[in-house]
Amino acid sequence: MDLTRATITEIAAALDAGSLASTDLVEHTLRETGRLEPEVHAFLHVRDRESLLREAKESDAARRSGGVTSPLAGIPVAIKDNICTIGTPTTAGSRILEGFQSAYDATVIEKLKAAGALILGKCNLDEFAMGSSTENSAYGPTTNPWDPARVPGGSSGGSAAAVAAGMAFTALGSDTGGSIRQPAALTGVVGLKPTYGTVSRRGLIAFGSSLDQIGPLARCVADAALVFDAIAGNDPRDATSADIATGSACDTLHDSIDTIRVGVPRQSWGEGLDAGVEASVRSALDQLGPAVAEITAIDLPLLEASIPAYYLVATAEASANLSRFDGVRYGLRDKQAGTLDEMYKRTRGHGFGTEVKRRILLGTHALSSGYYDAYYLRAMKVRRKIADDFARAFETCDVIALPATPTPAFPIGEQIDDPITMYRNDLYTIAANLAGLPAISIPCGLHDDTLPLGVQLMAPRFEESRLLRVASHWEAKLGTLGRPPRISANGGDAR
Amino acid sequence: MTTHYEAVIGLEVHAQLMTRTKIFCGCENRFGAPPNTLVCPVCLGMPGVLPVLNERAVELAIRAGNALGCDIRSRSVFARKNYFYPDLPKGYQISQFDQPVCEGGHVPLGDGRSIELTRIHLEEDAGKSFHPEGGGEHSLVDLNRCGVPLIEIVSEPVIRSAEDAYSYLVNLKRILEYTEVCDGNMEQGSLRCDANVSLRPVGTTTLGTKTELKNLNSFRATRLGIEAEIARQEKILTGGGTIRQETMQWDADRGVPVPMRSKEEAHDYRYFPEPDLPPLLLSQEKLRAVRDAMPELPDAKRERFQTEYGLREYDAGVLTDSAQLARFFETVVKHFPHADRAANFLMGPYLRLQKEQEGDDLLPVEPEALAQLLALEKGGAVSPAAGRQVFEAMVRTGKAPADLVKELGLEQISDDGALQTVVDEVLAANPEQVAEFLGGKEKVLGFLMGQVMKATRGKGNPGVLTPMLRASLEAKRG
Amino acid sequence: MTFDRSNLEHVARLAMLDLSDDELDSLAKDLDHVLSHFEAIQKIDVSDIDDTDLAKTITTPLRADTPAGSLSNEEATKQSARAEGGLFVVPKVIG
Repeated sequence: MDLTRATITEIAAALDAGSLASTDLVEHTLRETGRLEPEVHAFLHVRDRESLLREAKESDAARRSGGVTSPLAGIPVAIKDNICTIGTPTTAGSRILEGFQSAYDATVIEKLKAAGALILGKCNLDEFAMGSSTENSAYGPTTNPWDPARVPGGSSGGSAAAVAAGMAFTALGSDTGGSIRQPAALTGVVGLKPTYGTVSRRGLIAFGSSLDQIGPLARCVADAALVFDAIAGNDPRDATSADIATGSACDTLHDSIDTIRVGVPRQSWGEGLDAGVEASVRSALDQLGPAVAEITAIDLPLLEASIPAYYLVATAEASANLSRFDGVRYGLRDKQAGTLDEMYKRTRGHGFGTEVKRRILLGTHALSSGYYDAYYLRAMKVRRKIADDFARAFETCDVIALPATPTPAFPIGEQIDDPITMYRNDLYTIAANLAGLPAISIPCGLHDDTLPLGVQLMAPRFEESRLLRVASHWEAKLGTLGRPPRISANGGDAR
Repeated sequence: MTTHYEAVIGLEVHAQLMTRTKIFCGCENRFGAPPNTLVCPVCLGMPGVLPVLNERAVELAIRAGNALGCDIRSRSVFARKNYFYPDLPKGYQISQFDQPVCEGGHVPLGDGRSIELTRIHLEEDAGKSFHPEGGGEHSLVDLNRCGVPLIEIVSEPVIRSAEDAYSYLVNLKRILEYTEVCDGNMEQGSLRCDANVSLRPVGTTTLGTKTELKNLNSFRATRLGIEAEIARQEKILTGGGTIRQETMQWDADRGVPVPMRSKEEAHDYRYFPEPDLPPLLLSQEKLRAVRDAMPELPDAKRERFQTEYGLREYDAGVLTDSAQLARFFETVVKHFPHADRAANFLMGPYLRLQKEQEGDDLLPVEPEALAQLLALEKGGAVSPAAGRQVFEAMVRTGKAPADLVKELGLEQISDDGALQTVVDEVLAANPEQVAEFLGGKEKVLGFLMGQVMKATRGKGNPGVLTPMLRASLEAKRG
Repeated sequence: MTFDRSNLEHVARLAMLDLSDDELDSLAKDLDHVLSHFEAIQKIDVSDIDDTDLAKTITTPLRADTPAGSLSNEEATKQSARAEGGLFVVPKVIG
């Protein structure tokens, strides 16, 4: 079995059959990590071999004694480093949290552990998930496994690269404005952002609290559905967690989609969309057409306005969320400071990177006296209008299809000093966050035969089953990309 | 001619709610624990944590609103109030801003007048920072109090005198205690008062520049602090000066309001709706359930004390004046089932001592201990006069009454021989009074009895002594 | 609306961020640029929106008032850059 491409379903079957052991998965992962990490730098922390092998052995023993029911049992999962885990550092890619150890596991980690999954390590990200390239990590950028000169997207760039490079079988990311879907598209993997409130945010270091969701990055739609089923569900410790039973997304994955009406926003084909991306998405839609009831044009008139609305709301929330990093109870403290205010200012001024400071300042401004109505409140109203637009659109269609990103992966360093250009990478993804909708990016081919591209689907709130069902059928037509050929040499079979 | 000024006062009272746990996490809400032992990731503001609202805190806020005649909003919204301070771990306080849980209402002043309320809102308390003895360059932070549920009760700026502010606070405290919303312990900070004070020429309606007076942590401090602040402002205005908008702190030791560090710029708290908490929606059923669970209010309790314990109306009124005292009385009676004696003791020695100590709170004596003392008295082990001495010692030392009786040598003397000797000595020493008694002045008996008690240091059993004294005097008629 | 260095200094104070002179210059320029792009939302008609709540019928869930335990003092303070005697130590709080 080629462990760099195998799906979780295939691996679980092999584990059940006894032809593969969880210890093999650990060995494979550690070998590939050792081989590829110097170039990719997808991880900020990989757990030690002994612990992983011990847990893998326990998992194998449990399986032999019939104590395993979850398909995730014994499978190492990579975790974005803004998700709190006991026993490893949790840094959110920031200097200010260097060496920080969480006193508790995030709810998603509790759920993964309950399903028998192994926590492999912590993945690189843009500092506090603020960015679209993973260049904003205080610990250095992650590179795109398809082209080391290019970014993997962000902010879950480490998670995406780990899956794309075949180092991880699946990974958790977080998505505030596209941070799962955009890197998934740029690295050729599947990325799911669930409905706001479906996956507990407890233990996710908050960026934009009303927008953040945790979700899987995976090798295929079915794997994403498996992980989603494992981490979704009401959490009484998250007041924004929905108390709605959504059922298993896996169970309906292969049901027919011939009654599904697909809406494509006219605004998708606007300024800034790379011609190669457009061609690839149009071709993907052509392939989907025969399988569904219809593909029609719809309107999302405020798609363009979603960028300012998003950046004002997200940064306003972030400006408060990041106030707790003050050097008092944990994390970095500037010890030169003589006064309290100096300690705050120097700790935060030196502990945060430029993009994080930029966003804290923008958000502080948006909330400050005299600007609140014009910025924060107005952005919230535009957000409301965007949500209403989606509700209207879903009266005439069941899912919405559009590009995942305006361009393929861009060169490292190209956009880092140009916030507006960088923010435009989120054009197609942030509306789903503003409206709280589930959305998924799946690979739809290669740009110039070299760089992966993604196409995106959105569905009404809590309709993950429908979303994943359409995505699964579409994926069957488009095919998955597998591992980049350039890094496949020497990789491969566990046996 | 001189301008006369009138004061415009608004009070902001923070009351800690009597919940078992904090407002947004499962840490205990308890005073006096070692520092930073009632804390968890949530109230420490660790990365990734989320608040979940305590149901009891909501119920108690509604209950306070009911008791004060407020409108309870069916939808209220939590907001973040942003500022940096070491006792505020998240860098924002979760409070309510433009949509509080209660609006309107009033606090009675006890004389028929009442003060309108603006609102009551729910919020979390902050921790505490200390400055170690001997100054030093550092402060110490304890976060046990951080996240304790509070309601802030905001009055309209319609209070006109320090005296009315005092009455407002007394009556508010009584209602909050009665409804078991807050234990009212000002010394421990369960109930805290800030005052906004401004002056304006009598007859005008525009508000003058106000100052905020903090640290009014007793009834006395509230009255004295506001009086002093009014006087300070009046002096400035009369002298042609202007009032600076600033925050003052009441220095109870020196008896003056002291300006706190003047901020270079006004606070900008950047309130915005708390994204981690959806709005609080209250159904009619919920509101009804809270109303049904409302504890006994003062009038009902006074009537019950008369019927259940056979107390006179006046006594019942005194004993139900505060919920604490009423609760204390009922606990005493549970262990010492003689309501008349318990009531007499509380109305007499107990309240007298409390008044002497100028405290707003109960004396540091457990009701069970007082019940023991009353039982000793009733059983004849100690005389009522000696009992008062034991009681005072109990307040001072916290020791058990039986131990104190022994320790102080106050066992009651009932022995006839010993008492007859004392009586004979007293009569011999006071021939004038004896003559007066024999001449028909019954009143003198009281004086002589007092002398006898004095000679026994209060230990003589009055049940034995009274007939003995009379018999000895009668015997002198010959 | 433009955003200049004095705006930046004001929000940097509110946000407790120490910025170097270079940062003040470049961030003021960045934010002015970003905000001028964001002016687009000022043109959107939002007069019909009076409620920004996305889920109007959802109430915040309530937690039973049952103690759930706390961290030990050691666990609570061990990651602080400075804690002594179970307390967090900070430069002196004034006023």
